[in-house]
Amino acid sequence: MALIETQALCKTFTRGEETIHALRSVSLSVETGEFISIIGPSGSGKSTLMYILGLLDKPSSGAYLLGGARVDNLTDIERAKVRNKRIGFVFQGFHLLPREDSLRNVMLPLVYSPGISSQVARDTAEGCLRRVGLQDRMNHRPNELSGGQRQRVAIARALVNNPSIVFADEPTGNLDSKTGAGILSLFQELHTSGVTIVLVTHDPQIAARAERRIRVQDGVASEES
Amino acid sequence: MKLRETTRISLSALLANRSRTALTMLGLIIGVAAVIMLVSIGNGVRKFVMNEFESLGSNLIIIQPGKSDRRSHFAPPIALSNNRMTLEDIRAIERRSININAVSGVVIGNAVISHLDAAHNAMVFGANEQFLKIITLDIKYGGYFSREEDDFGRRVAVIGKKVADSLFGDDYAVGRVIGVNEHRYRVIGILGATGHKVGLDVDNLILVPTRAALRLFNTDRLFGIRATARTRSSVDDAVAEISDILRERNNGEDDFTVITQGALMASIENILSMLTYVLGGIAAISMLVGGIGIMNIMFVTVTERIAEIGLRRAVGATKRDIVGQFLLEAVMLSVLGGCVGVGLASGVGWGVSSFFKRFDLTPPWWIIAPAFGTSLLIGVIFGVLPAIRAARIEPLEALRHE
Ligand SMILES: Nc1ncnc2c1ncn2[C@@H]1O[C@H](COP(=O)(O)OP(=O)(O)OP(=O)(O)O)[C@@H](O)[C@H]1O
Ligand SMILES: [Mg+2]
Repeated sequence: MALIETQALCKTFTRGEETIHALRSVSLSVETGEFISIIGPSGSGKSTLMYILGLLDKPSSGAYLLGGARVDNLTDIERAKVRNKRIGFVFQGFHLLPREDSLRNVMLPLVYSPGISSQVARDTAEGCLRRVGLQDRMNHRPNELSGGQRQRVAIARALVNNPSIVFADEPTGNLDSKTGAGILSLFQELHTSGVTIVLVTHDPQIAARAERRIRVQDGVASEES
Repeated sequence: MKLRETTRISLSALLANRSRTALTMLGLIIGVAAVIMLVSIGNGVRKFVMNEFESLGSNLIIIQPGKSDRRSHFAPPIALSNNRMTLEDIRAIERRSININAVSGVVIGNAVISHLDAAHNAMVFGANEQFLKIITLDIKYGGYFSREEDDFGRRVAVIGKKVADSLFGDDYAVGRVIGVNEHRYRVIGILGATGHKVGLDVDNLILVPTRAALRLFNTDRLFGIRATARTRSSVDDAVAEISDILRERNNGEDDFTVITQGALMASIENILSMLTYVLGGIAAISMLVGGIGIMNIMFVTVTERIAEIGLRRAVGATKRDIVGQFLLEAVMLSVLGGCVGVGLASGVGWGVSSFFKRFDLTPPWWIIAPAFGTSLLIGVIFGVLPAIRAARIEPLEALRHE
């Protein structure tokens, strides 16, 4: 059974008179443990697709099964719970809380997981920071970290709830190529250790690091070999 | 962990904008402090008046000649009244009233008191032998005059401490003869240090038999009548009896005013509560303004933290979590403001009270719970709209916001 399975996903945005078809019938599947990339030019609908797969947005039509169960018709509260338990996000702009140190930032998803004691949360977060190589930056705030380190904190945060899948939207977009390469190696390592990764990028070279590529063009997705 | 973490984050958000937080709380601080100070002042005045009259005894009945406005209970100056109250009235009340314990006419005037070369201005207070049953006075040396001495208007005097000190110094004054204007009086008693009692400086008083005082001032007209009821519950009956007797003796005319502790307290209570309503209204408005200030700053905070809200939603916070977080922050602002307000009012109250020892302005302890509760309520009421706005922000919209 596929971890992710979509059938004819459509997404339209209406802006006054005009209707934008951001996704036109996307059907794809992702297996557990895969490292796939979604590639396509700017405005093609990559982020839109990722947001729907990450339950941050709802499709206009079509079906979405996560772990074999329909998730496109869940309530707000159920969607929040799925995001919390099963999905990790890494964004281009890091999205860290500026006043909190690395440890607190990584612990954030656990705050919304009922029944986790702060000691367990702290230990888990420390483990994740170690996993991304930031064991000596636990008590630094984002403005005391380099861009690459910030993105590592964000990756540790995505891993903290031991999710089924991690979505990364242009995770190297704000980094220079050398730092970006380090982040990509980290994703590679995580993939090797069994994490399912969906990486969104417009850069073919980066996309080439994944074992499978899905090309999105004008809202239509196709497998690329 | 959620509550603890949310509290910590709210606190750190408030601390990150210290001056903004302080300014936002100012409105509420002033409001809460104003309300508490009002309550304290009301309390202080009530306690002050209570003390003043409690020492007289709650059964005290004061009768003054002249009709007064029914609502105010304060008689007009005696000179304006045509009514004559005489010792005959006292005799009549004594004979016919069954609810009173003691009754005395009082005569008040100033006189020069002298002894050898020393002279002293004092207030002469004429009353009968029952007067000590009406107002408690501490006779330190000697005694008080008898019924017989009052009946015959003997020239005997019980003198206040200040009078004794100024005329005799450390000498024992009982038995000595003093001059009261042109008359010669024998000192039979000396009062202990007392201070003021209902506006009378007891220490500068000389108490003489009623008839002696009337003769001294060459009049048959009493300043007023003082009486006590047998029990607290018979005060009203006693007042009715005395009123009937006086009315009958005055050709059915109601030309006198009766003051009792209960009536006096009621009219003071009346004034106090009116004051409390007016000033309380003003204070409530200031609390309202404080609340609006909190709402305003919470809206600003929500707008500033759209990205944070989006991130929290993305990692699993529900709308309810977001509402809770911002509501908690508003409540923390308002409760903190309330606490500072309580502290401020207490500080001012303590300061004033330690300056004016007779006037207790320290806030009553029970004020803490309602002050806390009101602050909390204001935080909730004025925090709920910004919190709902925060929760309405869609995670995507917030994540794109930068
Ligand atoms: N909230 C929205 N309202 C209206 N149109 C939108 C909205 N979000 C996305 N779109 C439109 O949908 C299309 C796909 O946008 P999307 O962000 O998915 O592109 P993308 O492939 O991620 O591009 P990029 O590589 O520049 O990030 C675009 O034409 C965009 O203008
Ligand atoms: Mg995009």
